[in-house]
Amino acid sequence: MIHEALFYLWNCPGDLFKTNKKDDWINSVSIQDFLHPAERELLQRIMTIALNYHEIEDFRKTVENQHIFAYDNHITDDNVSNEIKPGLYVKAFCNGVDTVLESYRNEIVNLEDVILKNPQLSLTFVLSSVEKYVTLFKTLKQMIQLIKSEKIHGCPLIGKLQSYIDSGIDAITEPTLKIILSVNTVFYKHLCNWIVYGDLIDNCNEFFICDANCADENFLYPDQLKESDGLKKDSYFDIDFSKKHKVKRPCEVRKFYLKKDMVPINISMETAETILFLGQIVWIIRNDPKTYFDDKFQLKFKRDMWDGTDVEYYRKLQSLENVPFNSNVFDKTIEECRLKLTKYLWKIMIDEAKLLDHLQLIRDYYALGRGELFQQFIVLAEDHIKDITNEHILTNLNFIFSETARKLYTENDKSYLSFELTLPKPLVKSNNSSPWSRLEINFNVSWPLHILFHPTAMGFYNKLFCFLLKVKKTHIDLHKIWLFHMEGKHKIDPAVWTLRNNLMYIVNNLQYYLQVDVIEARFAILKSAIQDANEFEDIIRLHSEFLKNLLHETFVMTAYKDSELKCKHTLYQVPALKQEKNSMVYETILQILSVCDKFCSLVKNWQSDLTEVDLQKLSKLKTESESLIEMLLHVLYSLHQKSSGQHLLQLLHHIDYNRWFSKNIVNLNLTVS
Amino acid sequence: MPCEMITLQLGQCGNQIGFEFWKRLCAEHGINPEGILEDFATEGIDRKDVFFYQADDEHYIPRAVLLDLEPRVINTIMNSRYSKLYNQENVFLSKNGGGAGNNWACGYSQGEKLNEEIFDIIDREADGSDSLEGFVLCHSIAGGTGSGMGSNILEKLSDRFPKKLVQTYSVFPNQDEISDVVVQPYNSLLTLKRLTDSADSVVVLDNTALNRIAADRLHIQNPTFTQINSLVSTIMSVSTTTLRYPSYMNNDLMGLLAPLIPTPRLHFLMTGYTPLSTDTDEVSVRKTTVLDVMRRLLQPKNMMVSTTQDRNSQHCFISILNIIQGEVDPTQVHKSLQRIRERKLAQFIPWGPASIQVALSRKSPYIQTAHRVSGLMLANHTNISSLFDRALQQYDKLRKREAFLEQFRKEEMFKDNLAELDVSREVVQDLVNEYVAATREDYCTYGLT
Repeated sequence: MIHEALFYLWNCPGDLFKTNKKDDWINSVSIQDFLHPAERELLQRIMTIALNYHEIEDFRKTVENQHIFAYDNHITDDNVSNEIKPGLYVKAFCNGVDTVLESYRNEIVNLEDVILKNPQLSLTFVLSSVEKYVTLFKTLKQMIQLIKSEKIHGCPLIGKLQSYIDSGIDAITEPTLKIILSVNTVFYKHLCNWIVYGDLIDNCNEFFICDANCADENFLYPDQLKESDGLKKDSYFDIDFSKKHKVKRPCEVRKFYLKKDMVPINISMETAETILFLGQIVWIIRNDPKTYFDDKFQLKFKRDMWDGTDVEYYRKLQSLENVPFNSNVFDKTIEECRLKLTKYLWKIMIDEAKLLDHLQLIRDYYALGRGELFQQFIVLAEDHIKDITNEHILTNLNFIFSETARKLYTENDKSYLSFELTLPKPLVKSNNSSPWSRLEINFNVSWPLHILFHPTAMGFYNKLFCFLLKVKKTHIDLHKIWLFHMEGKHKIDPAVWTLRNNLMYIVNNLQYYLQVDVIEARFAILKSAIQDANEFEDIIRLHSEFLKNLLHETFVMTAYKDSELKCKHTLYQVPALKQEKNSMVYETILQILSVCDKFCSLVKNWQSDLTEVDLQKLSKLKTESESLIEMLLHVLYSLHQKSSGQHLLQLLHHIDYNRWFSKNIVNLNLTVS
Repeated sequence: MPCEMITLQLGQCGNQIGFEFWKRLCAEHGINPEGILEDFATEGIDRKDVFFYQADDEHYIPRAVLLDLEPRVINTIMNSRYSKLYNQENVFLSKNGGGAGNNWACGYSQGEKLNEEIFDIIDREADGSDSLEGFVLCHSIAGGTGSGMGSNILEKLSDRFPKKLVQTYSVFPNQDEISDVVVQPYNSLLTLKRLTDSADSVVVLDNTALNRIAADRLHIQNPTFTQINSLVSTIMSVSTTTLRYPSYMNNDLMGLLAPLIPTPRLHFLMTGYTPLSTDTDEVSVRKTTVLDVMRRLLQPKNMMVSTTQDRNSQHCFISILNIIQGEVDPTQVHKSLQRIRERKLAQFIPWGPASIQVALSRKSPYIQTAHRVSGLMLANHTNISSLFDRALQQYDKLRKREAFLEQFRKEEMFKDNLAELDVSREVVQDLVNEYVAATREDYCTYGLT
């Protein structure tokens, strides 16, 4: 009978205790008859322990028999509602449980030995030997229950188990630790492969980072988005756009994302984001489209972001699996990896990709730093596109653009070749929309700067480009009127030249404000900040911040008030900007520009003696311009009082330098500041 | 290549300052005296093509036309290291070589006679450029060739190239010393008329002020021609720097001049430059900040035009353009502008908007300067009329005595009468009046009645 009990404890039931259910065997008649109630009580307690063991073993065996590799991605949760999803983590958990149970099994074997030697030993002895496993089994059962009920799948298990460590009871802590270490092997394999090699081998979708198996749409240009729909999603190397564009689109960035519910509770969301970020960097570096060639060994090689220390970092990370989880140590190790990677990428960006040179190009082309090029381009293009049908405009513009640049810069500077003008379709179909208001410019962004100059950022730059080009065009038109007025030194109607003078003054100062006070200053700040920075994330953050200020202060877009950055380490940062429909400053400036344009197109055709109609038109324009300028000053001033933007005052002071415009405006007390 | 400028240098003074100007441009662009680009300068992205063109053998050749009626200065140039620099076909020396005898009328009539030959050169040079923006004329207004022939060329230029800008660098005579050219007041007056009517912009280089600056600021008691000319070439080179080292604004002469010159006739520009130092003397270098530079540029003593203060009239700036070079933080510029605005350091016109425009310009990487920041001011100031007023007074003095007029009567233009002098006086008087009118609020209605 004792032996039967042992068998039962061993989970190998004999004739006596067959059933697996507690109530069943107690009711079994034969036992009831000849057992003393005390013995029965004893037996009952032993059997409870045994039953718990059975249950644990059952679970363990089911899991062990599951085929991991048969795991199908497409099985939805509903289909496996009753079962546990097969997965490496649960398997590892069971392995851990198995090890933990080993001592129990040894105990039983020992017990048998002892009993065989001393047949007079009683059930009490058996109970006393196995009773110490009660708590353990209870805990294990709880864990299993937890896994079953919460359907824990993958790495959150680590976090769940972690709470048992903190129970303070040795009988629980130690075995839990063993189990955790077993699960850790799986987790750290995932983690190390991800962080060190950017690999995600996760057939069962257990890791908290997931591969979307497609290009990240944040890094796709609209035309790429369209094409990638039709293309096979796996081809993440740069798609050839040469048929359509001269400027090549940057290579794609694979989309990886964080599954927030899969992050173990003991790993903070910030660390998780960092981990995602690290793997993304590694993936990007490993997918550098260029191949490097070693002259010495005639070998092609890929770049190594770890400088040969990848194994070292791998080991360092992996060694964490042998110790209980300590978030400080964990975060510290992740941080070490981050520093290594982020410095490496920073170095590539600065030294190899020549970020600062790229920024200069952006300043030169997108921000019209090369005034001479765009000036000449505008003058030449204007003559050409007058009588060209819409389809050919773009080809012609691009030809003029590169011809002008070629003439200006000869062989010394061919940077213009990486730029190409485009003409996006107007949002609203209108026949008379001038190409000048829509012209954009594309830039051949080289790897890995495409992370920084992502489509959204380039879109912002193009918004600025569009605006600056408009200002420049108007400025040139006004200059032409000036030249026309200078010819022959004729007397010009004062009403005409004063209006021309005032408009030119406004546009000139606006242009100066945009080019120097905002663009030049912002670029100077960004460049020196980038040189002082030494982490890749700093570059991302600085650039995003820079763009925000740039577009905000040029009035092209409006920055959000509360633009605190949520996460420090992300690959993709969009400046907090929005396009306000009725941004007063921007709208007023546009209206002033349109008055200038009207003025120019009228004056061009006027003779020295103005007709009555001319005078009427002129006085209308004059009133219009005066009220617009007054409005601009008012808006700048009142906005400044509300939000105290220094830049508003800067423009205001330029325009009103000799207090000419404010002289006649009441309520505008500019002398204070 | 776009926006080219053709330089015409006339007479003794014009050729001298022109020579200095080209020396300076060569140094700045890394072009050696033979016109060959130095090895260190091959990578530059400066715009040499505005003032130079490249010959088939890669030599850089100035878009310059050298004109004189007597051979002395041009011979000096042709015997210098720079002799191979110029296109020999662009050097024009009058065959008789007798000069204009410091007589405007003589220079003018010779110019008239040589017109075709001269304009053959100019036309050829203009045809050789892609889209010519304008002409730069260097001359003095006091002598014979620069003033007389210069006047003739100015008139012809505005006829033949009405759409091209004509800018002159005109040297005004030194009032502090007694000139050996007795008819200087006549010459000046007659030239001033052409500068008013035919030039689009005149950069006034006043020898009086230049000599004073040399004496007071540079402590050179008897400044030589070379020392004065080095000041002049500084002004000429810096005032063209935004064309040669282009950036976001002021990349063509039109963009440079349009904000400075609101009305066609008020186109006489004063200049100022700071900090000044001579080749030998680098001691006077002080700490230069943008504010220092901009403030000093507003001080009359740094002006290269000697104006007299007239307490009765409210002379003021019509416009200012400061070309600032060196290590400049854009935010500093705005702070300086603010400071000047608050303290009202500059008096502006009461009839329209005006401000200090600033052009931050790159500078030649091949020329080392001891100064962190330097600045050139181009200003349109109503007080420049005092210079013309002085010219009128001197003319009147001479005219009252009918002095030295026989020299003029010899020439065709003055054979029958001296109406040309009277007309010129009227034009210059009008100019002075217009400048004075520009100090008043009602300038916008000036000339309507």
